[in-house]
Amino acid sequence: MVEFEYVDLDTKRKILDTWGKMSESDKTHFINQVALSLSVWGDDVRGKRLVVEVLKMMSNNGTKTLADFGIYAKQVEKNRLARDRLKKMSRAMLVLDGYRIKHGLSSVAHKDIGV
Amino acid sequence: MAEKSAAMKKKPEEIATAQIEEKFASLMNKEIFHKAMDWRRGLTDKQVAAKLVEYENISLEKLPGDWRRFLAGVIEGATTPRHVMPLDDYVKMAMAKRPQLVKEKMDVESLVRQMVATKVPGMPQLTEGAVKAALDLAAMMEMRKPEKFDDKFWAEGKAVV
Repeated sequence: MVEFEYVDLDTKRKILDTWGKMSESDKTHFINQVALSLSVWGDDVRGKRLVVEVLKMMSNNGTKTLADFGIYAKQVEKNRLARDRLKKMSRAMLVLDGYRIKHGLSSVAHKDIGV
Repeated sequence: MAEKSAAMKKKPEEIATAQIEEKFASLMNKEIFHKAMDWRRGLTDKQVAAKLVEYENISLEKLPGDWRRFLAGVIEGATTPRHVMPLDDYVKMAMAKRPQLVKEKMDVESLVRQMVATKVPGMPQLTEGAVKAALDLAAMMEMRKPEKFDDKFWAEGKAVV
């Protein structure tokens, strides 16, 4: 179990709200991208925190679909949590890019990334 | 009993906060992380590794120059005016069709027509006019000359699929 004290209440509320409004296929694409990321950059507590960091960024940017995960994931490469796994992070980006190409997902976020 | 009366004394906003905390933890741990780990549990380590390599190799960066130019040439014409959809998205759509393209040695016209038939959610579809523009451009770039599609070309494609 991962604890989430480091995510503020408003962000949690926004993520719950976005999740509730997403289509089933978007949810599946999102989970698949999380699964691929964890497989590459590690599924330990820090790996899961990186996933949450991506979610925080998406939420702060007002995204309407978490299926854009692979596009926003590039932004956490600069996060201090990723500092000692940069090679794994770059590989994860390549894998996520390939997943998005294969499934015809857009290469640009539904909302411009302003974070 | 003591727990019940303590809960009753909680203010409504405290209850709402506790509910959000609980729902969020449940979404992350049970829905997202659990399902993501489940995806992996359903596959052997070898299968996970193969999946990762498969996706890794789809990357545009791995495409040989001729293939990249071929797709970009066709696509550039098809996306006139360019602002209709990011060029990169059309390249990626064509890339997604790549295995079939190689297998069938698809010609430019079939490729463009297939792209027109592919609806990308949230993106405008290509029109017949755009197809014509793409084909004209491909002809202009001499991309439709049969000798362009020699065995070496297809072999190169096979190497990256």
